[in-house]
Formats: sequence, structure tokens, C-alpha cells
Amino acid sequence: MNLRRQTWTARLALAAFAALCLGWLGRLDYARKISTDVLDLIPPEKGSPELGLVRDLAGNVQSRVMLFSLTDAAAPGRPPVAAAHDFAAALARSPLFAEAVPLDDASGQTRLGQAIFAQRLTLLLPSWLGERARLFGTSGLPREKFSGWLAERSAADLEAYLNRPEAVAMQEFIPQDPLLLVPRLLDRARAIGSPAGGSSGAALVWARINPSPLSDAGQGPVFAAVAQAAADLHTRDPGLALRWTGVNRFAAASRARIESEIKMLNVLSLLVVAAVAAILVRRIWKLLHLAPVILCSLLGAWTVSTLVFSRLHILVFVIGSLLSGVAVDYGFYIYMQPFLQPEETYGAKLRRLLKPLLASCLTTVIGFSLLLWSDLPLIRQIGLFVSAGLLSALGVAILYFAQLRRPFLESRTFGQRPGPSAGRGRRALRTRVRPWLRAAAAAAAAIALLGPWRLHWRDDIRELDIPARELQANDAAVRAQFGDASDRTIYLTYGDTLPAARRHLEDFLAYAAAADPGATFGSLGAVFPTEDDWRALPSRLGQLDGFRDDFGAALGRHGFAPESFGPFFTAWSAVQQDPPAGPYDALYGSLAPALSGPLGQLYSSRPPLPWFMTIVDRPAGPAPPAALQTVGVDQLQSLDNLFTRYRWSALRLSAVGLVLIIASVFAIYPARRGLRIALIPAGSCFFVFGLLGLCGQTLNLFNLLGAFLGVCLSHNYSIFSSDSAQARQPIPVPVRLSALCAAGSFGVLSFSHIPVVHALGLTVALIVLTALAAIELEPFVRGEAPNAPA
Amino acid sequence: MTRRLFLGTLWWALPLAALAAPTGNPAHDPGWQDLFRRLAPTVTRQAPFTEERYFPFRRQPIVLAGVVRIVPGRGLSLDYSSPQSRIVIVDAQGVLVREGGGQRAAPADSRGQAATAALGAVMRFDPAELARDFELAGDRQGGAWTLTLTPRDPALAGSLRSIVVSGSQGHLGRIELNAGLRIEIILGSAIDGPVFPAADLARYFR
Repeated sequence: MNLRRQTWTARLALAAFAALCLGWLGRLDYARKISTDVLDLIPPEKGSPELGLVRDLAGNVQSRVMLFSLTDAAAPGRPPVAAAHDFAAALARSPLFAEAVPLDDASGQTRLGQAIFAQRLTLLLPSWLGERARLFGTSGLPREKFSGWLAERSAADLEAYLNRPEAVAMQEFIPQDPLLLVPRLLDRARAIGSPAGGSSGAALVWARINPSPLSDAGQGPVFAAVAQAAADLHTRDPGLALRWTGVNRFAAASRARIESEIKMLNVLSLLVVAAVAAILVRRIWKLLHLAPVILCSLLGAWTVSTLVFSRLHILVFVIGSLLSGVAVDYGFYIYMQPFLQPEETYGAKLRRLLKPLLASCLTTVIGFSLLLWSDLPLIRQIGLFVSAGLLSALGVAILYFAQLRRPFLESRTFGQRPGPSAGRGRRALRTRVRPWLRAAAAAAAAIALLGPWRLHWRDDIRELDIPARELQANDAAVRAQFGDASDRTIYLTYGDTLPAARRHLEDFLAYAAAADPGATFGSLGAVFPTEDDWRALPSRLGQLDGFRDDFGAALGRHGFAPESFGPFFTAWSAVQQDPPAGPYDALYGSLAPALSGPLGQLYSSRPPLPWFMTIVDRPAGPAPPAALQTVGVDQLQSLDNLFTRYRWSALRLSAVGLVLIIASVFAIYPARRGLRIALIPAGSCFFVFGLLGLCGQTLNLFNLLGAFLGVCLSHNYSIFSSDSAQARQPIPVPVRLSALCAAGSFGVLSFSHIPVVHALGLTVALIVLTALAAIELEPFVRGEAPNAPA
Repeated sequence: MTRRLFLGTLWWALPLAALAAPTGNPAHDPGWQDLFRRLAPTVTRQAPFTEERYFPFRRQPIVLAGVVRIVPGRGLSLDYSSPQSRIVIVDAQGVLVREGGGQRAAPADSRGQAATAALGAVMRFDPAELARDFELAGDRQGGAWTLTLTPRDPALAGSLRSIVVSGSQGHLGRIELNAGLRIEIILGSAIDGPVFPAADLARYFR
């Protein structure tokens, strides 16, 4: 192919590639395509029902809640209740808010209390009667004694109840509820409690927004509505102070931080690469020829990833921007390799370089492609992004330099001072440092072998998010006023169906009461009977024909005036004649009109995973047995077990990937060279893990991914330096340049505030530097002084 | 229903008033002021008490007995011993019930807190504070005296009609709570200045 044709073919191919990519990317709806939701980083359920739970709870329930606390500087101890009402009313007028409730107003609780009291014989009687029937079953008495036994026991329980402080408050209700159905429920729901705002002089407002807090509509417009409502309050009373929190504040801060980090890290990376290049390259401006390679590599990665995945997390692009550090390798290698003879064509030079280029690129792609089999969406997305980016980088580098006339970037030369005295000096230096280097190599080997055993791993989904300390402190303070406290624990009990979830709740409450008899529990689920007790109610009532008379007599024996309980006996007769019946699930709709504000968040009867919340006034203890299908919300927040599973999955995939890479190397290169190529990246990786282990560092899933990336990069350098090592020549400048650029750009990332990016950057930078040191020092350690460069 | 719960809250403080002491307008009358000063707890106090609860649906009252302790600055503790063991603590944080190895707080919504604040005033026997939260009416016959406290807050007054405290000289002997049901608390001889060991303070207070 003549030069002109080669040039235009390459340009056309590059233009077509860029046009296709830009055409696709130009028509994307990025708001829908790119997610900032940390929950999108974890897979949908798939064998982990708790994930469905956390998605439902965090995605549809809790995340839309916003909490507001108002204080008045002019009256510090007195909650500004009227202002809170006005503020809630202002929010409620906005179509962005589904509801806004001032929490001093007990009307919500009163409505719920009235609804439960009105339906007590439908909702509460089945459980009460079920418990008593089971207890009677253990007494050994004949069935016909059940009514008398139950009457005597109920009267005794009522008398004992009157000793309790609560009896004074309940005395007006007792004639209608001598079985204590409602007081008993209050005991079981007590831990739900009320917010503590009043005691801190704050008036509280609970609100729920309509749009997703992770969408633009759930952030800017909502913040503007809050600001407007707050400004109206301040106009009226400048002493009022508002504190508020919500997931949307975290999401907005997270997005702003990621965007600013992307910009800053990319600029810093470019500066580092430019600085390294300025040291090693003669005509630094010629490095601009590498920019199209990097840009097209990212273009290819973005295009393929957005084509394959319907939704990608923004972290993929943050981490994916690291791709430039790898993509530049192929450009460096092609561009900086000199033509062997003046008449050598680009095609001939490329054919000469193709084997190491393909070997490094394809083996790395094979390795990253294996990540596509990970359970974790983020890892799958990174695997595809990097693989597509590397293939694009290689293809674009080959095409781009094909359209240049004799592409060659000359490097600077160091330590090449001619003369016999210089040669003697270098030899003497090598002789002096060799024992030290060998000792250092032995120490490094020991660290690589022993250190990894001392590694500690910690997996926490919160590592994926960006810490916003001020927002977290504000959130904790506001939530504490709403009753959140570290000395209580919130559990979620779930099931495949509503009856199953309610049964699990019953089992969990029994387990928890036995495990800590002094603890107080609160669960609105206790309002509803289990399906078994619901179905058994008519037959149990059928066994209690004489109960009305028996209970009247028992009340008299215990000092009561039976005639005072007329309302109860009337209701009892009615329920006996016409016991409650109907579909079990319909029970849960009966309270729906009375559940507003935070009360509406205490259970969910929606499929596919109904759940009940239980609040326990104890700090989190051991996780409940798996059979109870109950998890602490704190466990859900960390999902540590799940992430440990993902880490092991990633470790397995990485190990298989490395084996494939090494096998490919041995297939391409002779055994001795293959061994060297394999040992340098693997040794560097183990050395870095060993070092981190000995330093007591705690690592996570993303250090592991960083190690995989670092190994792939080192693998490139190992291959690119293989020929020169074989020929006992100095390390090629492109390898040095690539490694230093990669170490610099990844080193910059280790300063990131995003834990994931920090972990990746630090691990990759350390491995790359270790590999470069190994390649540079290898000839000295082996006692094979490199010959002068050709 | 919630309102009713506050009754319990306020009622627990009554024996405190008993320990603290009794009280034409007591808020401004120098004679009553002097009595208030004597009743206001400046040192620890302890006294036995008997409580009778007259429920409208019972033929006989429920009778409870125990010991009331007060520590200025910490609050009031009612240690019921009969017919069941239970400790009720009333302090600046609200009302806490200890029984069966566990403890539970009383509901803490705004009306509950208002009631608790009223309790604090009764506990301190501060005439200015009492006059702010209650209408005060007093009657003195020789050494005997009777003080009637009627809540000014309409919400509280809807649940608690009045508190009547009475006694002789500087001693509070009886408290009567009228709140739909009637509760009478008869106090025994009070001991001023008992020393409560640390274990007792931890058990009876928070």
C-alpha cells in the first residue's frame, strides 16, 4: 500500500469510528443512562432477598423522606410549633412534596389509635385468643374448661394491669376492652415511641417528596422549595433556624464531588504525564499525537459500555478515566520505537512490534473480560469499559500513526556519557550495589510470600459512596431529634408473602424477647394476626359459648362491677355471632387510611417482598438466625457479607484471568521468557499486598480490582521489555515512560476522597512502580550488565 | 387516648408534692410563701406511702404501697413494693418505669412534655412556677392546710381536673388526684436528709 493510500485509509477509518461513536453518544439521555445511586452498584436480588429489601426501603421508602428541625433563638427551650406548622403547610403546597407533617401534632397517632381501637376485635382478638388457646393447651385441662379458664385468667390479668401506671391513662377504655387487647398492643409497640425534638427545643417536620431524590427533579427544585419556605419563615421571624436532611442532599453532594474530582483528577493526571514526558522526551509537543489515541480509546469505551448496559454508574466513568493511563501505552510503544533503517516503512515497523502489542493488549483484554462474569454490576461494567477501551486504543494507535509521515518520537538519553572512565565507574558502582540489591530482592521476595497472609479485608457498601462529613454530622443530629439513636436497633422482617412475613415477625419477636427479656420492642406488625390465628378465630370463638357469663362472674370475684362492662359484652356477642372473615391480605388495607407520615413507613404489604419494621431499644447485637428472615437495618447499610461474597467472586475471576494471561504468554513466548514475563507482574502484586499486609492496612474489593489492573499494566511492561532483556539491552524508553506515566496518574488518584478511587489508585501505582523497579534492577541483580543501547 | 397517657405521667409526681409539702392566694400570700419554703426539698427525703386508686368499674380501690424518695437535682422515685414491685422515676428527662429487669420511658410528645414540665414545678415547689402552670387555691385551718392546683393548660385540664395536696404544719400528708378516677396518696412520716448509697441512687434514679 502506498503512503498516500495508507494515510487516507487510516484517516477514513478513524473518522468513521469517531463519527459512529459520537453519533451514538450524542443521542443518549445521560440523566437516564448514568446513575449516581449507590444501590445501582449492587445487583437486583438474585439469591439475596435482603437486597430486594434494601432496594425497596432505600429506593422507595426511606430515601424520599426529608426531615426538618426548627429552633427559635429567641426561645431556646420552647419548640416553635406554630412556625413548624406553617413550614409544613408551605412544603405541602408544593407539588414536589407528597406530604409534610409537623410531628408535634399527634393527630396521626390518634387517628391510628382510633382505627385500631375500632377494629380491635377484628385485628387484635385473633392473636390474643390464639395465644390463650396455646397456653390452655399446655395446661392439660379438658377442652370444655377453656371458657372458665380463660375468664378467670382474663379477670386476673385485668386486676394486675390496674396496678400499672398506664392503667390510669387507659381507665376510660377498659370497660370496652377488659381483655386488654389495646393496652397489650401498646406494650408491643412502645419502642416505636415519639421523636425527641421537643425535649431539645426543636419543632420537627417530617416530609416525603414525590420525585426520586437521586433525580434532578428530586434535588434542585426540592432544595428551592425548602429554601423558599425557610425564607418565608425568616421574613416573619428572623430568629428561626432550620436544619434539615435527606438522601437528596447526599446525592447532590456526591454528584458534585464526583464531577469535581473527575475534572481535578484528569487535569492532575495530564500534568503528571506531561511532566514525566518532559523529562524523558525531546520534543514534548509531539506528545499531542497521543491525545487522539486516548480520546478515541475513551470514546470507544463509552460507546460500547452504553450500548451494552442500559444503565451505568458514574463511578464506572471515574474509574474508567484511568483507562487513559493504560491506553497511552500502545501509542508510546508504537510512536517511540525507532525505524530500524531509513527505508523501513510504517507497515514493516508495525509488523515487528505487533507481537508484543497484541500479546499485551489481548491478554489484558482477556483478563478484564472475565470480570463480565462477576455478580457485581460495577465490576462487570468496569470489565467491559476497560476491555473495549484497550481494544479501541490499540486499533486507533495503529491507525493514527499510519497516517503520519515516519512517526517517531525521540527520547532523551541519560547516563550515556562516553569514555572508558565512565564505563569503569558504572561497573564499579554495579559491583558495589549488587549485594545490596540482591539482599533487597530477597527481602522483597520474603515480603511477597509472607506479607499477604497478614492482610485484613473489610467489605462495606459505604466504601462505594463518598463521605460527606458535614452532611453526615448534620444528618445524625437531625435524626437524633427524630428519635434515631445508636442505643436502639431497627430490624426488618420479610417474607415471600404477607402471611410468611407476619409469621417470621412472630418468630422474631419471640426470639428477641427470649434473647433479651428486658428489651422493649415496637412493631406495628403486631397489630395484625398471623394467618393461622386469623383462620382459626371462628372455631375458637365457637368453643367459648359460655365465656360471657364466665367472664362476668370472674370479674365479680376480682372486685369489679360486671355491669360496667356492658359495651364489651355487647361487642363480644356480636363478634361471636358473626366472626370476622375474609381474605387475610385484606386486613392490611384496613389501616391504610390511618397510616400517614412516618407511621406509613413501619411496614410494607406490597409484593414481592412484604416487610415489617421492628424497633428495639438495645444497641445492635448478633444477627438473628437466618431462618427468621430478619436483618438489622445497619446490616443492610453495610451489606458486608454480600460484599465479601463479591470480593471472593472477583478474586476467583481475577485468579482465573491471571492464569489465562500467563497461559497465553507461555503459548506465545518460550518458557524462560514466559516465566520472566509472568513473574514480574505477579511478584509485584504479591509484594505490594505483602507490604500493605505488614503495614496493617485494611483492604477491600477495590484494592483487589486495582491489583488486577496493576498486574495487567505490569504485564505490558514485562512484555515490552522482554526483547531488550533477552538482548541484554537497557529497558526501552516507552516502557519507562509508560510506567512512570501510569504510576503518576494512578498515584494522583490515590489522593482522591472517593474511597473506591483511592483504593484503586494506590494499589495500581504501587504495583506499577514495583514492576518498573523490578524491570530496571533485574539485570543488576542477575549480574548481567546491560549492553549499550543499539 | 394519648391524652389519657399523660394522666399517668402527672399522677406519678403527686407523692413528690407530698414529700415536698403543702400550700386566700397562695402564690402571693406571705404565709403560704413561708410554707412553700419549708415544703420545697432542699435535702434528700424519703417517706412511705399508700396509694388508693378508685376506678369507676371496681367495687374496691386498688391499693398500692411503697416508698418515695426525692433527691434535689435528680428527681423523684416511687418504689412500689405491693402488690407488685415497680419503680417509677420522674426527673428532668421525663418519666421512666423500671420493672422486670427492664425499663421503659413514658410517651414523650409535646403534651407529655408539658405534663412533665408541670411535674418539675410541683417537685420543686417553686411558687412562681406553680402559679404559672396552675391556678392555686389554698385553705388554712389552724395548723392544717389544703392547696388545690388546677392546670391552666386547657389540654392538660381536659385530662386532669385538679390536684389537691393537704397536710399539717410543714408536713404533707395527703394528695388527691381527680382525673376521671380518683387517686389518693397517703404519706407516712418523712425522713429528711437520708444518705442514699451509690447503688441506691443507680437503682432508684437515672
